[in-house]
Amino acid sequence: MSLDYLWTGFAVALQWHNLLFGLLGCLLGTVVGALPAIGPINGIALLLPLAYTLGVPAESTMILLAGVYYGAEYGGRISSILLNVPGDAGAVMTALDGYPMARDGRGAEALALSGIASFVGGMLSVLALTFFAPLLGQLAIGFGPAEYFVLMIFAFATLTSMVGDQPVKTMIGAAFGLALSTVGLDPTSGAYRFTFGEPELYDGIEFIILVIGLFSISEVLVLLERQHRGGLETVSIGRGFPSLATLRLCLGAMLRGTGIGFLIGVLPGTGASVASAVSYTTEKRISDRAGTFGRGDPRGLAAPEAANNAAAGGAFVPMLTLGVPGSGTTAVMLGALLLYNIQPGPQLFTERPELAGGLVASMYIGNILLLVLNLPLVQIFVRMLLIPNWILLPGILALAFLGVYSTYASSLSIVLMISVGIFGYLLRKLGFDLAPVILGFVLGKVTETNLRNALAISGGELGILFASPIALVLWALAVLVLFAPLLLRRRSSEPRA
Amino acid sequence: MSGAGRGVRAEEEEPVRARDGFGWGERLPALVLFLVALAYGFAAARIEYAFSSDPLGPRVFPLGLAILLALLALAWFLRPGGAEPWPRGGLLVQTAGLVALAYLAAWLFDRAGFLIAMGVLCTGAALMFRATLRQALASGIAQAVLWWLVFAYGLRIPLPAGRWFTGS
Amino acid sequence: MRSLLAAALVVLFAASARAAPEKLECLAPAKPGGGFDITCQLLRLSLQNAKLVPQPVAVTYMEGGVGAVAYNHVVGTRPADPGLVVAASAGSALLLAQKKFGVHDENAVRWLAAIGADHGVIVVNAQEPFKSLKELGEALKANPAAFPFGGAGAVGSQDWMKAAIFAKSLGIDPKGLRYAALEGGGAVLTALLGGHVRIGTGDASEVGAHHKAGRVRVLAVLSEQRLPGDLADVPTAREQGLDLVWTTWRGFYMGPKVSDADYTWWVELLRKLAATPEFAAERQAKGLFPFTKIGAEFDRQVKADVARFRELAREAGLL
Repeated sequence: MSLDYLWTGFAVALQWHNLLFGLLGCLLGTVVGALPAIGPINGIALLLPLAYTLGVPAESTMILLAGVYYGAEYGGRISSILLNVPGDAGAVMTALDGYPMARDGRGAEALALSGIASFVGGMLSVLALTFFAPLLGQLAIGFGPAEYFVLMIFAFATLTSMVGDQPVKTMIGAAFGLALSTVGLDPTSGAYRFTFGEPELYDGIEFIILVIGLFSISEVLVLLERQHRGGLETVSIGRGFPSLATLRLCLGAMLRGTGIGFLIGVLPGTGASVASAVSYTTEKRISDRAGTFGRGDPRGLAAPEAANNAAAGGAFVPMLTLGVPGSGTTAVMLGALLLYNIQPGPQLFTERPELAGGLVASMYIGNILLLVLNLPLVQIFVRMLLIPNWILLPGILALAFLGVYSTYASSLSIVLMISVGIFGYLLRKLGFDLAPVILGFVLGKVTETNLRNALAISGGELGILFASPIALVLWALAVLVLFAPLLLRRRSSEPRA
Repeated sequence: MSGAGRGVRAEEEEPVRARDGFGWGERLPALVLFLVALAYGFAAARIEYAFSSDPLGPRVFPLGLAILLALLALAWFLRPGGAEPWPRGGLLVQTAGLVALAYLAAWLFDRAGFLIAMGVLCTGAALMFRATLRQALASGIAQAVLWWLVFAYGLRIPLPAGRWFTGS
Repeated sequence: MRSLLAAALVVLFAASARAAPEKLECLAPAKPGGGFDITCQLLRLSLQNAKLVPQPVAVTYMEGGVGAVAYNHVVGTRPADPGLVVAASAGSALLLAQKKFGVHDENAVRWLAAIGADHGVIVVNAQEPFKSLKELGEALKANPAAFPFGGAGAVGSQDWMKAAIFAKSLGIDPKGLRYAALEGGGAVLTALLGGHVRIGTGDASEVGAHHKAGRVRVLAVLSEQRLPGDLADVPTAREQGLDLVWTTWRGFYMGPKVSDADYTWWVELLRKLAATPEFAAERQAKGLFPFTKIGAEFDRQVKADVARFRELAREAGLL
């Protein structure tokens, strides 16, 4: 595939009105990404009919929507880092080290670092998309149920890095998350499991309700306690830019995060939440030799941030090469193309180069715009920490309510969210980390469904799990990740010659 | 690190995770978890389905998890790892108060409408975080209106006007 | 004489119902972007373009319970709202037939209209040797274990049903099928392309372009007549001697206590809308095929579908 389409695309995307659409999309995306539970889907659902009605041409609409999509990935981290309240699924891991950094007076640095990591992840993934899209499309096709199941085995292998000083509790958390993922319609047999006849539970426990409840509500309760003990002081916002040494320290984490995130993003069956989770746990497995992860290690922030943006870029691969959506949001964008009577797929690059090229070019431009926008904005966002607690914390509660209500339109879901929040508070008091619960939940459904589908295809033969080269490579990686720390430790303890 | 003087290191604020006496503070929740695991397993064994296209069916995975959870609960019961003390006295009252306030706002959400529910929630929570009454009222009303504008007009997400007033 | 009277009655009703509901709302019982959203958007955009009513249709979303949460909500909380229509599909009828749609049955709401449809397809990878449904059928019959199916949905879902009626027509027990329940039509296509499954069941609108591009081969459309567009060269299953029809209509229901006058107002409005070129253009843009049934005719269709689906589910051993 020649790159002519891309030059056509840059010519389109650099027209001033398209630049303006891109900028508008980036800004709006940052805002919707920053609001909990409101994600790019909402932004796109809002803008799409508007753009269509106003007669905005297809390529400008795609540029606008791509801006929203990318902007939301940048925006989702703000509340995660500053308030320990993840704005979306991909930002859960960001809070693990980002929030301790902010509590430590390094809020501005954390925001800037995550902006840079996002840029690295986003930019490299667009480059990979430009040059290897058809090849990557083949990779996506290579993943059937068996391969997805082994990928999940690999993910669980990396999860062992989360075992802290209380391994039993980590395992309980993960098992509990897995159990929560079994509630609702069984995607294979069609049976309702653990729904007690409540239609609200037919679709299972909603991820948004779980994340917002566990994190937002429990955080406010914990802060109330901290205030009671006199520990709730306003933290300083710190200086604005990570030092060169920090950046150098994080470079490996960013690159590994990008690689893992991009590959997982390319697969239609897994998305940004799995990508950031696996990149964090892998990074912790590889780099966390001093036990600083989870206490404000910048690498623990850089890896998942690079990964979720890389995954966002990777999700375009199946859409552009196969014409099938790579994620929920790209599904909506696919719908946007259909609205303009355009059928996505590889023929797009030859039949409508201004559109395919414009979209890819706008990803380059969008990433640069967002970096340029975000670095100065850090100084504004971080001032959120200076807002008095009596305004900020009720605001977190209000946004938790709104986030849940705007997705499920029922006050019952709010009640459920509060109850989950109290449960999260109890877990935290009992010495549990919340991350394993979320990880178990995220990985649970993918694991079970793909194992059962694989066995349905093979008629119960377990051999299917070892049949393809992809599966074998993943098994090997899983074993490697399990034993990597042992190997690394041995090597570092050997005397240097 | 200039300007970081007010910053407090996260670890210093956390109360020490410790065991009380026999460790009932953890052993009791471990027992509860054990019972939950049993109930979950019992419910899993009774999942109704006509047939499944896969050999495992919908029961096996949850049943395995139930056994795993029960074993882990026992391990936790036998060797509690340490937990934070539960809130007592004034803090317990405040925590319970905040929870009750949140449930109240959720109850009001459909009935009294978004503006009133949010006003109550934000004002009440502001008071708990040591605002003066005037500050709390100002913040509560301002936030209710602000979020209404952002969501209902900015994002076009319809918010309830309140069943008590619209009469439906 | 009787038809004259009926006509007079309709005119009377129409006259008394001329007062349009104040606010028009289309509730999509899912996330933005799915099939229910498309149904609501088709209504909203075509009404807006055809300029039949002054007020816009607001599209709202209520995710949850495969649509059952919205069903319960309308029956329980907003049964008499004259401006509210809710998107539904043949999939909703299938769930109702299997009693998987909460406590209410198909008689709990007023079925308003279908405004479009998608049609079932049976599809294989373009590299497979089979050129017709018959050839595939013979190979499948000879060795069912060699042909894992892939569809978007669990046992009992529409895609599974398509596989099941195909198997049954060949004398194979649907319970013995190897069937992978995948997440969405896109996943079915990738699994077909990657050779993880060998027979795909799905919807015409989703595979048309891929068939035309030569990546997959649609062996049969499960409709009564051949379809226009990308799949025009594909014969129906009936043409090939197998009586397989699966129509996924998309339409709306209203609350059970909506007055006859308001119901008739909507019926009249949709009749007018269905005749406009703006509607036809929007329907095509949304990838839907013509399928218009309004009012009593639609109500009969839904009830008949539910009865047929119930029978099918019983035969397949689901009930």
